[in-house]
Amino acid sequence: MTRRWRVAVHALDRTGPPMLALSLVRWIRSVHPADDIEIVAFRGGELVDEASKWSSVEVVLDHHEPWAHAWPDPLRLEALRARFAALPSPDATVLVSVSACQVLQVLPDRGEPLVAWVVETGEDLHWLDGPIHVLDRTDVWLAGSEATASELAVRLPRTAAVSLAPEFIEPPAEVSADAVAACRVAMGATGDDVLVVGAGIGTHRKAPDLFLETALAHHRRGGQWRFTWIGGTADPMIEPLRREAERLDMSYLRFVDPVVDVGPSFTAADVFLHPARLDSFPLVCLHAAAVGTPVVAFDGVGGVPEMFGADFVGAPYPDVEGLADALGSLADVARRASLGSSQRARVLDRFTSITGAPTVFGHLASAARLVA
Amino acid sequence: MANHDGGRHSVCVPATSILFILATPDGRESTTALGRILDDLERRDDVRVSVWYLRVDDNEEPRPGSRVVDELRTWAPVHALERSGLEMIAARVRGLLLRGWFLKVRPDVVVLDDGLGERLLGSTSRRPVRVVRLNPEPPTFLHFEPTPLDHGDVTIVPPSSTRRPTVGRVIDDTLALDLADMRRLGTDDARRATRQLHALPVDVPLVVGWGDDGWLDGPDLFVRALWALEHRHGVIAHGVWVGLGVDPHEVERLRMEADRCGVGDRFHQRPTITPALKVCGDVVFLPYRSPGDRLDLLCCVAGGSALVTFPVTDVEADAVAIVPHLDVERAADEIVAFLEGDRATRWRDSLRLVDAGGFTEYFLEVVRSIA
Repeated sequence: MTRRWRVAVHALDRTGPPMLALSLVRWIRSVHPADDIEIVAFRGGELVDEASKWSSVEVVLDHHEPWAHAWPDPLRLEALRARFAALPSPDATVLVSVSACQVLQVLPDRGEPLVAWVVETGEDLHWLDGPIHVLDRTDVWLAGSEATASELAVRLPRTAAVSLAPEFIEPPAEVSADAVAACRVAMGATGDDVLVVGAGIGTHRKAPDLFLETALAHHRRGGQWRFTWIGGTADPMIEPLRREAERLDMSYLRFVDPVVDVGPSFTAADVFLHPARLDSFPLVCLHAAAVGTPVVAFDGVGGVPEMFGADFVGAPYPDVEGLADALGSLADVARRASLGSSQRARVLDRFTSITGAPTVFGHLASAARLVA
Repeated sequence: MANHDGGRHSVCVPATSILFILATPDGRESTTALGRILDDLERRDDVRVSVWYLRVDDNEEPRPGSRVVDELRTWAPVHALERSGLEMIAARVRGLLLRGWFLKVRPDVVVLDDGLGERLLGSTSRRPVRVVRLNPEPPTFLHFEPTPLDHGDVTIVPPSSTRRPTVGRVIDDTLALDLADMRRLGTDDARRATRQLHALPVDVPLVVGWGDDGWLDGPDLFVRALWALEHRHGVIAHGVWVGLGVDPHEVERLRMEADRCGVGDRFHQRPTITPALKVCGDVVFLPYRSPGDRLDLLCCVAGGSALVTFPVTDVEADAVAIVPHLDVERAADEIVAFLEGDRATRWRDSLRLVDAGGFTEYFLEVVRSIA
């Protein structure tokens, strides 16, 4: 009998959970080609076409459609429910991130198993307390990192068991030397420049402002490295940061548009700096480490320390000066290479779809059998 | 900045001659404010004050002992020479008279109110320190005079002015401000009462910041300064950010940021900016990413608060520390220095912002340093 899996995401934009969901879908498709997969995204985004190559795709809301979760427009809600009532029931549904629970408002509840793969921490876990009542509907709780697991242990009912299912990336593809050289030029690095790269959308949580501050601190202590932040250029936060960099004469800092494939850009970097204020298990750090670029990040605001274990390099949040010191500790090329190599080995060993996807799929399949 | 306490009435040095060239004895607020500094200067032994008006209308009352430059034009003997066709001689006589006036005054400093009267200075035998006082409200007869100077060796600018000369010394014309309220709110008793009224801790170091422009005002940097005070200096200070009352999302974001930084129990937010809250702390930290309101900062200093900020202002005072942009650690260093410093001294030094006597001391210090 053909099994049917529903993968729910909050959107199909180029952010962590949708990318993670796509990695999972591609793995299921490759290992279980006979299974049906359906992606339901509450909002659309630039990944819709890519997702459609691997599964059927349903996007709940129209482009930029406003929505109040606590007080949805009853007529619109009724129309959406009617639209999705005809969808066949899956054997199980997995929410990739708890924010994907938004789709539950419009999907029929026929008692099929629900797996919540929580990849958030801190304030991003507000969906647990929201109007969707995801606590009542979830059968299996998975945590994308130990950082998330420890928070869920506090926030979920004591009867709820939480299993660790680390987030993962797909193994990196080879990148040509020409592509790397072109990326370095595009990111403002020439010759022997040391290039520090950060990446993410332009939000306080991802903290491109702290990327700027760390670059400033690095240069105040005599550093000459170049810094480039990839992504978020359409977000309101980036333009003020550009102006700030200009005002402070930080010609060594750039903000560039997001890229479809981060591999070449991250390979072109000498160091990947992730100054996020909150990030449970950032995929960008996995991507950077997977291509051998050493990662520097804050401790105490998510899962990067557990990602790299003894090979973690960084500073406790919010010690920006400490983060600049950590960068400085990588001035030596051999040190960077050594750290990059050890972080890469750890990521490839533990956090790719080869090891991670079977874990998630195993929980999904088990949940389906439980109900059956 | 020099100590303002010493030598107020000491006469060890020759008296400084200061000539004020004013437009008219009109009723503008700025003229009244200048009258207060003239009163104060005239009481001093170390200053000789002369006042010349360019013009006096029939209904205006010049200060006792002052001269009116326009009388050189209307003086009957000179006028008679002109009527006789001897304009050249009349002009020469006027020049000699003016030179005589200058010889009598021998000014070390000339203050050009409204920047007017530069045409007279050619009659001086030596170059005095030129002080230009800019007024937001020009005199009525401005069109009779050559284009006013917009700066001198020293320029006195309205405190709210955003157009400031880039050459010479610039000082704030704080006489026109009513800062008495800030002074009252900055007393120890008033600050304690304000803290109690707003449920803020009383007997602990309190850092105050304000702004309702969100990220641009740097409240996130403010929170991190509390972290730096603890982790770099061992100072367990409380902080209150005032403003943002209309932005609940930003308020919540800041609360979470404070929690993340481990200072959630010591970081307070109050929704509405009031003068009392601004000066209720021990130190003000304004981590602005864009230029601060000068008047706002002056009020803060007038209220006896020490101020730490980034290079977003040119307010100069002992109680103001400017640290490099976004440098939270240096800001924390300065906050600690102020917390350990003598508030009473700051209180005394800020006097120049709130009364004529204080302003006069400061003014004299500046012009004498140039003379």
